[in-house]
Amino acid sequence: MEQNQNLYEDYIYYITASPNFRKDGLVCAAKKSGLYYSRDKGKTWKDAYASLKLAAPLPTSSAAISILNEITYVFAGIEGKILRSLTSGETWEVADLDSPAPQVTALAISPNFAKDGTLLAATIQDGILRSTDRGVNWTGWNFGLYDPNINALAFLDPQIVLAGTQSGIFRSSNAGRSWRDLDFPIDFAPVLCLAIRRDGTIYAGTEAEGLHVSCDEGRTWEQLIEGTVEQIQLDASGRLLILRDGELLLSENGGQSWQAARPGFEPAADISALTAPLGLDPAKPLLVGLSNGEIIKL
Amino acid sequence: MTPAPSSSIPEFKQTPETVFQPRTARGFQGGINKIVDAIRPSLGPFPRAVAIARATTTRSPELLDSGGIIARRIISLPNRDEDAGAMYIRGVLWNLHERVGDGVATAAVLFQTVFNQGLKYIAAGGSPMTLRSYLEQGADIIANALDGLTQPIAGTEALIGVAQTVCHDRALAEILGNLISIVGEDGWLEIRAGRGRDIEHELIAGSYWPGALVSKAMIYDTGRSRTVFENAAILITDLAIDSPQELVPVIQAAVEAGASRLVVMCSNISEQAQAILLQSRKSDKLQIIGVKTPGLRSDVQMTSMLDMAALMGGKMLVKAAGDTLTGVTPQHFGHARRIWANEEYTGLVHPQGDPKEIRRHINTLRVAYKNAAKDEERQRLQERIGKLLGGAAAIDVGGLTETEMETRKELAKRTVRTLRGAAREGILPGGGTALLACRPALDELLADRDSLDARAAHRILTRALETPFRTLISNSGNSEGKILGEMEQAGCEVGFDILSGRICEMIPNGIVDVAAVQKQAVISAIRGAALALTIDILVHRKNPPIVTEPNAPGI
Repeated sequence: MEQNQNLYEDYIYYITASPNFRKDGLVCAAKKSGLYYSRDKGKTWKDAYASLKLAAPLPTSSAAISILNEITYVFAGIEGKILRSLTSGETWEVADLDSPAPQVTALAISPNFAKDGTLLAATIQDGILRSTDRGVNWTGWNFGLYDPNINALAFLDPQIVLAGTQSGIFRSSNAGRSWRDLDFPIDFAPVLCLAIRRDGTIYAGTEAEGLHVSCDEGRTWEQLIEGTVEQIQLDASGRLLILRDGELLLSENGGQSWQAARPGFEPAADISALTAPLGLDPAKPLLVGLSNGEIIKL
Repeated sequence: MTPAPSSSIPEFKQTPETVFQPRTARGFQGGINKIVDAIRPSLGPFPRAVAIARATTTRSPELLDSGGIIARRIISLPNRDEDAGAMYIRGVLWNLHERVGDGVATAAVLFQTVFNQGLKYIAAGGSPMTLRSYLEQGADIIANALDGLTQPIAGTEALIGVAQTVCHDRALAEILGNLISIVGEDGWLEIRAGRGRDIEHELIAGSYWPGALVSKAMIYDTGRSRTVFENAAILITDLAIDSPQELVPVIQAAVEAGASRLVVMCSNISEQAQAILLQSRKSDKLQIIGVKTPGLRSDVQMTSMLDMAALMGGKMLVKAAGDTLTGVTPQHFGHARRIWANEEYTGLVHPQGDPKEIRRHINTLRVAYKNAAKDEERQRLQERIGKLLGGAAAIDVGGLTETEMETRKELAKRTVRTLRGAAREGILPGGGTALLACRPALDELLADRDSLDARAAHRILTRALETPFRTLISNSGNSEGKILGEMEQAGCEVGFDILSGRICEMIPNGIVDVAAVQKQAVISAIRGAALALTIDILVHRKNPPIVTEPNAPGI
């Protein structure tokens, strides 16, 4: 277990790894004090906004990484703006969002980003913003999305994407141009996190009603576990990792039974973010962000 | 045939009379055949127009290619026996048109076959009541078989294909297919009269209602002729504000709520009270505008207020409930990230009501929509749901003449209704092939092998299911027998593409029918014809009133 103390003590909203993590070792952490990146698989971290020479910290609530034509795109969501870097976070371009300034809560990159250049940004109060030019321009696309408080986004394929909101779950079948509400039970909302398997199975983590699964495109739902589920991670082998009531739980059988993901791990503060860049095999690294700003590699 | 009058209705001086068989059947058959023969040319991708003379002689005949409108325009036949049959089928067809917006020509030819074949069987000694029972069973069997063939509509191209089958206007079909794919089957799509020749459209963020600024002087952005407030407090009421003093508690509550922008939505604001609002324009602490509560009728006003209050939160003040402005508190205000108003409309972008309450409100309206008995009620609910979902599309339909523009506008409305049905309930292989594919399912009727009536119903319905296909081919100038033979050799998954003149798979080539329309057309036609077969006696009244609005028979 490696612990990195060389960080600000501040809340970590999001951790994301490069799709090419195995080779480039790139991982980013969006924090209250800004965005940080590591090029050595989370051993050492640097301030990604150093080139901006900011007078004050720039709270960053979300981040996303994609690689296209050997260029690493890094996106970061801050209040009223989305930043884009084509230099792995060393220099930045700024896209201003429509007033009043939205608070970006999540960024999602299309699985077909190389061809469609599509990204979606979830916001609290202002619905979903969409870019089809690799993050240069952003426009609100909220047809049918009557709940503008978005907590989570997840792509199934380049066309189908889900949004978890305060009142339930919405589905788009045209890459975020329009949305329809799913039959997610209203009393189970808010939905804090989402994950979709390639076969279309949807997992939804809720604020107070646990983890739910649907195998029929969101028509019916089954509760897998109770509690507050803030994070979900899936891998290709069928494993499922959740952050439930502050605990990391792993299931090898689609959520039918659970075990501690890292037995003996007792964090010094609440876990607020996590990523498993190489899958959920217990032998592979798991990067965990804490509410005090620490990032721990398990 | 008498066309629908626009200004005068001809007077019929007739004596009462009771008509028995076989004259009843002959008369009914004559009237039904005349109506169906008038509609028959409108079936297919190359619909031929039906010219119907207008009641006023100064204008050219009306050119129609919609079965529903053709049926509606024929309001009487000179022969009273035939008129009874014609008005019967007219009611069935118009009711279908009102419910699903399309499928009238298909229903008409199905109806005709079932009725004519049924009459032959009854004339040969069959029992009308037993036959009716088997025909109705057959209608249910076909409806179930169509359910089994139904596929969900996938993608914008499929929607454009459906639109094309209804409007036969590529430009209009592309716009409508695209817009329905964005706003969705429940979304709000407004079709307006355009000013130019072409069709223009726009996508509008949020929702808007017809509630104008109370004064032009409240337009802050003169360049765009509107006022936009961000994070405003919004008071919703149907009260009128007569004196400036009535505004005092509202302003105090807004200050208490920490608002820097206030929108007062009310039925009217007097000029003296408006002066207070206009003075606020220069204020850097609290700017206020007034807009009119949407809706001219009290019931429309109330539903608009309910919907807006659900979206924005807050508590509306209602005159009928005895509410006044004296007790306004910060909790009465709704909120939106943006609210805009101009001289016609007021719009909300990202209203800040409780999302769960909004969802419950929408679900309530969706249930009411499903249970609504009248088309007008369904349309009103559809519009309300569309506005609540957020995001709107508007089309301005132009034309060279006012007549062309009005015709295209009606066509656009009909196409949109069909597209919504397709998006909700799915699609079927088009070109009459879905009905052909239902023929084997009718074997279920033969469970009672000893029943002559069951076998007759099986034979009649099997033939009826071929009629739409045969009519389509015949309307396109091809030989139906030859093509049917080729199709049966090619397998059950294919049909005939009239446009390209080749046999191919229907859905992959964009040749589709709306499942809800086909199903309803089958049910209406078969049940309507089955009931008509049981009519034995006609009673003509003295000087019967001419009814221009079709009535649905009790089926």
